Amino acid sequence: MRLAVWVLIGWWLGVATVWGSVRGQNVGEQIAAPKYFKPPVSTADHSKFEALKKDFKSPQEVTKACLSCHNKAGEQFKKTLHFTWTWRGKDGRLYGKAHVINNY
Amino acid sequence: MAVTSNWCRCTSCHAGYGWKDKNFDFNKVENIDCLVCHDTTGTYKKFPTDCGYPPLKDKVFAGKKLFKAVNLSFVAQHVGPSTRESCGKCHFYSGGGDGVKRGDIDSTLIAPDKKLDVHMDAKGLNFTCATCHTTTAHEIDGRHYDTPAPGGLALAFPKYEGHRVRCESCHGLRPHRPKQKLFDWRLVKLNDHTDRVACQTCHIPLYARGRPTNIYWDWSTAGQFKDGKPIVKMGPLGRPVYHSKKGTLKWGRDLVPVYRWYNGTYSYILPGEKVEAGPEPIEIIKPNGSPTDPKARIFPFKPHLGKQPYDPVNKTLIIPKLFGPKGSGAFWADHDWKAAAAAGMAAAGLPFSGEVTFVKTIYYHALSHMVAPKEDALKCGACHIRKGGRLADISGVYLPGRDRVPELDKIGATLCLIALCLVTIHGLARIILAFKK
Repeated sequence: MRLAVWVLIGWWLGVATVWGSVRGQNVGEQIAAPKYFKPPVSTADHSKFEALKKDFKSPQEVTKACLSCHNKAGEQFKKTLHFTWTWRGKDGRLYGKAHVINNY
Repeated sequence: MAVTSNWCRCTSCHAGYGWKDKNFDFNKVENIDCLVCHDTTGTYKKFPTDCGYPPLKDKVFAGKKLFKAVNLSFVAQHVGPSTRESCGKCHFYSGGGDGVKRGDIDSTLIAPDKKLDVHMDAKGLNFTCATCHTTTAHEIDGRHYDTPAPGGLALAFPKYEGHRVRCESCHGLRPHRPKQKLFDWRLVKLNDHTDRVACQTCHIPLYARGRPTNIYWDWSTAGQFKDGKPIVKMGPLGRPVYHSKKGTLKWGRDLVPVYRWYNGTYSYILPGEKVEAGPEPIEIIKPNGSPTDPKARIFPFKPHLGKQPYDPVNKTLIIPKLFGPKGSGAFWADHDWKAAAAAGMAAAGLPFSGEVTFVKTIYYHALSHMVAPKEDALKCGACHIRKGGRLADISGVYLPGRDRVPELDKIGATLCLIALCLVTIHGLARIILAFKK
């Protein structure tokens, strides 16, 4: 009988601790920004890469160093609007910043 | 006005190095600028007139602003995902200064509060640009040429490759949901708006809420000097109202947008395209859409009025050369519109008659950023009002409260009157009959 009482008390204490800690965490999360919108945490520390431990003399050297690992980035990026400033419209005409005119 | 012939000034915001004339080689991948987007240190800046190059020595721009030498190794060792600051280095400053062009993005978005932008709220959701402008293999969503990217509903589901660039992508087509109860009849009617009214229309009640934005630019008055010295006259908003290089300028803050039907694409008047100059401004960049277009919604815009050079013989808009050394024809060095037009049009390979006049033009900017908290959204009465409502000049829809059919109103009034007469007769009859008993 006494054993049963102690087991019961122990059980409740355990439940209370776990519940309290879970609840405490929730409160903490509400104050911070929702974690699914945080920028992705990088899986690489770029300062440790040999290719970047150089005294770069020109920005092009940096790009070459980037592309030595990110070997598809150059081909991807050179086709994008941020690089070409050109957009071929459905009507065949060329749009994009390099081709349009505005009043600024 | 146009990139052609003004390369080194304009391409200081190009994600590349050395685009100084039309012979730039777009196949040389080492000319890609990785750092401008991926810098996380905030120390990487491109020099405003160096064709996209960052300063490698300390350099002064326009005699006053110091650009510190960039430590390439330090920046390269600290690259990471894009941030509001890295995108903003170019996009906040388009048009030549903070908030000048866009009206809905400027440097206040680096660390905004909830009042300014519910999504980017630095202490709340803290979105970056790329949270909505989702990116696949360096292809960034969101543009307004002839194909809105991405098309369709673009819900944020894997089936749609996770595109989130539209409000509906995350909020869905019935976005207003009751907070506590399961059902709220008032929200049903609000949700019924989403097929014709864009979310932005009510949730971006004002624009230029961060910095002042340029609303009028008259190039025709540029080139005036006082005692041989350039004039810069500052206005009440801390922005120039006259500038010898730029002409007459008008600025605004907390402005009410104009509303147009918009299906996510624009029409452009391109350089070399014939266009008649009339009393109304030429719509050089205007939204496509009409009330009969099922993809079109009523959408808010910042209109930008301008007065810019025009060739009255060829009937084309002129690309002027603005930036360049003395003697090159550049307007900012030689102050002669005819020489600037000749140099610019020659660089673009377009005919120029030798005549320069100025025409009024208008450019519409779609407003999608700086979404206000819901308590600041427009109330029903902002549009559903007889006169002076926000949608007063939107045609093609019956807007209750604004519109009426006088015939129908007359029929209704007549029916009411008849009903009142009958009720009176019936009532009187009953009273009289009651006395008779």
